Amino acid sequence: MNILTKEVNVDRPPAFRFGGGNETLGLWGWFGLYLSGAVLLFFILSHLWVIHYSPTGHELTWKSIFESFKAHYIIRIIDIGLLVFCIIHGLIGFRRIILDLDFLSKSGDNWVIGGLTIIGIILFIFGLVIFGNFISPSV
Amino acid sequence: LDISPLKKGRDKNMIYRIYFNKKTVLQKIIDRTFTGDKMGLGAYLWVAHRISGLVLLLFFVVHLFTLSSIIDGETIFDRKMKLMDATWIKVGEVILIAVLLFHCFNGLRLILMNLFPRSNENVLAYISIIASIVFTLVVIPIIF
Repeated sequence: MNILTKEVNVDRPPAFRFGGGNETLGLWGWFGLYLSGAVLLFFILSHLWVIHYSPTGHELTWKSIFESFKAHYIIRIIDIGLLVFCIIHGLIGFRRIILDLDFLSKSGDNWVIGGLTIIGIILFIFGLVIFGNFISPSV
Repeated sequence: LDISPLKKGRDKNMIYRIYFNKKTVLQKIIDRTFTGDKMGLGAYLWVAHRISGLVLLLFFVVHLFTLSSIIDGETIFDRKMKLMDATWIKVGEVILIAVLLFHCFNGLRLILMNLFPRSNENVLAYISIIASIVFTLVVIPIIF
């Protein structure tokens, strides 16, 4: 195989070589990273808009956040979407960085995937608990 | 790995990638630091994108822990949020926004490079850098 077609560009090739192995993220990893990045951009912009420009935003107090969530269900969807896509994009990106370091075996990669999945689930539950406390405080 | 035929090519980033793909990132950085060889713009952005990603991931976790003070009650949460009015926090926010914008625009550049393989990589790189700087400057008055 011509070396140019094999590894000409570390950031460009996944669309053209979805194959597995430690060098690439694979099809799902690529879609997970790039597609989730694009979706995340929408959620971040919406989140910043809610904080700075929406009628319920501005002040950073429990009351203002509570009223903001209460005001419209879309604001709740934005923040949960932000949480989910931050976790997905962040952890797949972290795996990509580990793969770039090029020291993992196939089984090591599987351990990384498993570990990051568990971390992702914990962060998601943690985020939901925080979110729940803004909607109906426990204290 | 013989890269000599490629040295005649115009794309320095391409040489960087072929050369660097055979080494670990740490080796790459150390090599380039001590040999004084210049890296292409794409190579610098490649490293910067990963560093900014790690910074944002760290911020995300710290942000969750900061917000988790809501579990201790409204008063404690409001007291902690009051600390966010400090000037050094605002400066930190500007730096964070700059990192975020760089990561966003560089990420868009990577998506465009994937969708349009023949696009001019350097033009896209400069556009992403300039856009990051301009939008950071726009955001500063909003934060302060």
